[in-house]
Amino acid sequence: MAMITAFTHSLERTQCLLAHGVRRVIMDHPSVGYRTFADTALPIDGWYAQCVALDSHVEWVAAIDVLLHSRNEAAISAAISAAIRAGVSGFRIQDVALIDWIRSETDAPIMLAPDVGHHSAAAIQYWMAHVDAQSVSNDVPGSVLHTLTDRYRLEVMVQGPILLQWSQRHYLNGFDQPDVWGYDTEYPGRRLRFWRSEHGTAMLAYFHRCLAKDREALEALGVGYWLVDTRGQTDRYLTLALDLYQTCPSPDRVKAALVELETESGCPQRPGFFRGNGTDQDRESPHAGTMLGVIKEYRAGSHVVMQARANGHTHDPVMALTPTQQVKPLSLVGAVTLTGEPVTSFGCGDWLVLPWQKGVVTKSMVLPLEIDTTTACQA
Amino acid sequence: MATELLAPAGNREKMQVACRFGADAVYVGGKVFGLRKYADNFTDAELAEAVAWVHQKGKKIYVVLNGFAHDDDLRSLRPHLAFLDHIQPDAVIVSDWAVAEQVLTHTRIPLHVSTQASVIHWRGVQRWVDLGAKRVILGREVTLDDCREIQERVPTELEVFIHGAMCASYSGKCVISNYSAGRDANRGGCVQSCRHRYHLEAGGQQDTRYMMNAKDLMAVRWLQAGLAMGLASFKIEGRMKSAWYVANATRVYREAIDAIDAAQGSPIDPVQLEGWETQLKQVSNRTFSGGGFDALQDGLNQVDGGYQSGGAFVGTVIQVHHDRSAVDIRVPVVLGDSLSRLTPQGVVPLTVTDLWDVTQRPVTQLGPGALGWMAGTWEVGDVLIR
Repeated sequence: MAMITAFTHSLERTQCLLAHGVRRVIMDHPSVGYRTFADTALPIDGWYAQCVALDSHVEWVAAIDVLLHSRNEAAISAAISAAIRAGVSGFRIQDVALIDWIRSETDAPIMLAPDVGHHSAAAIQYWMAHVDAQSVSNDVPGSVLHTLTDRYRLEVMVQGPILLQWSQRHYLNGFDQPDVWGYDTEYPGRRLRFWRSEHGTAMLAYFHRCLAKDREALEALGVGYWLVDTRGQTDRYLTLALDLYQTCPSPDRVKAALVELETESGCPQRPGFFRGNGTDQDRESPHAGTMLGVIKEYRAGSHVVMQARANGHTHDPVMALTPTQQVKPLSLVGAVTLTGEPVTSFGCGDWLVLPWQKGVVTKSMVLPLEIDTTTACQA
Repeated sequence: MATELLAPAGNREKMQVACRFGADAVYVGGKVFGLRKYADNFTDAELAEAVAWVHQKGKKIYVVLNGFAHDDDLRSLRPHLAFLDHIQPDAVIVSDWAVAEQVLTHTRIPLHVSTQASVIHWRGVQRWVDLGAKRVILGREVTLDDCREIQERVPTELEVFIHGAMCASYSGKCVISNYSAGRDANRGGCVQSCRHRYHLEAGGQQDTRYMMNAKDLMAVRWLQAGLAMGLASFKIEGRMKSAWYVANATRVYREAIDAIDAAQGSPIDPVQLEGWETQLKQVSNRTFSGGGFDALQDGLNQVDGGYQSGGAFVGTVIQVHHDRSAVDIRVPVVLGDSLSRLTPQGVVPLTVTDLWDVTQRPVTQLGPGALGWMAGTWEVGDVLIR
């Protein structure tokens, strides 16, 4: 079974995790973490050392959860040094710029955080040659992970808030508290969370990722780590979440736990993209690669104007595919240029003025006649 | 090496405009895998023609492949790379490490690293250079001091944005669209939810504001410093923007760069700087900030919705024949209209004295989307404004 991993930002939270039997703990610190949800913290040297001293059988991971920039370089340097002195088991980073720096100072394993931008099996495979482990992007469905070997070096987030974006900008000015709730006025039912730190502002989604109902699929994946991300959540949330994934609860118990998790967090609990990622269905027409041109304008009874987007001849058999996916007969015979000269061949960017042809409207694609237009655009 | 002025070319017309108004290089997207999916983008035939056309002008052209790939995307990537390797653009612009590896392994095309990779420190630049990148486009969070340090530490080509829209978040790390609208922000589907109004509450305080609607970047004041440190390229954002935007921004920054070069280190007259800024403000914008070159963290860089503009884009000259010029028209034009024609040398007023439709029939007006002829011997790529 996968090893449960969790974040901590305080000794109290750490002790809570250890009491629950968590054996891989990610140590967050506000000097190098943009969403620790911690107002205060021990100095980083003491922080790592005190955690590690609690239990030598635990894997202690130092999180450097910011992008390396001149502004935070000193803080990151201090964190790396402190972590090495404390004898941490590894590092978790979101900026690949840190890989060589850390490697120059220690052999401790490096895990990449999901923010790296490895949204494909190929990207994950690429990084397997350069780091020791990776926390998989929430964009990647479980089905994609199945295509990979070495899944034991992967971590999947099974529970917790979803990061939508974080910014160096501070756009919660005017609010006294760093922890702010809100909603996009275009989606008023969706409650979003924002956290302000010295590093900028983080924005979290209106639902939590929760894979409690996908246990079978999770176990079949055989990844090395399950991340239960309870940053910014109550101790009760932590207890419920850990219980869900450290044990094999019955469906009724899962159902009850999800209700309570939603109450504790204020957020629905959903699997997100784990079951499938249907975003960005290709909105480009499947015929974009074969089109000869686009209809620019028409005047009924007068003319049609086409802009050529490939090379061709006016005797080529073609058709027009309207924006509503209707096929209309079209002939380029009789085409003239904008200055009235007859045209027999054309190149990219040329304008052809054609006799008006019924039904051929603006933004119709001009396609070779043999194209199968039953493959409609998905837009 | 002189710093190049790099302009966006969302389609063929804008490419011609960018080159006419003084760009040294243009960047374009194909139908595969760029981030501006709603730009016209170039078909393969157009890409091939564009590369030949730009090179014949003595300029450079870069093809954008800067989405973060999912596995479906990668299936169409290999054949596309083979095609690009055949037509040989001057570089491809990439964010995804797996895509970068494919480019370096299977093509001879130089690799530029996109701002989407959020590289803002010399160590990040070094990592990409070690992979084989020829140029890195720095994240918009960098300061001038950062640029200087990076340039000193890593002798490679660096490119910075100098104008245009900015993301609210670190580039390439935003998925708001993915969850709010089912559109992948990092594969061309961003719906710019960051520009919406948000209602916020905490500890009894409430507010409704355009909390993340970032102002546009305008860095004309920092060009001299950038030129002095030897940056490789100044980039204008905006493949989805109008031909007027492309013409205006390219013209002003061309003039500014040339003036700074000619000044050979002497300070630029503040009046001249203000003049450039005033011209840049003519085209619809979200008001401006200096981005990372100025003070980015002060939370004052968002604008309360809406745009400001000094005019309207009327159309682009697409052909010239004897004493007439054909125009691709965007807003209604009627006989007698007072317009202006933007050229690389400046703005020329004109009155519409004659108007013909595309069949050479005299008309009294032309509607948006029409092609038509006007009296005047202009240049292809000139832009008409009102």
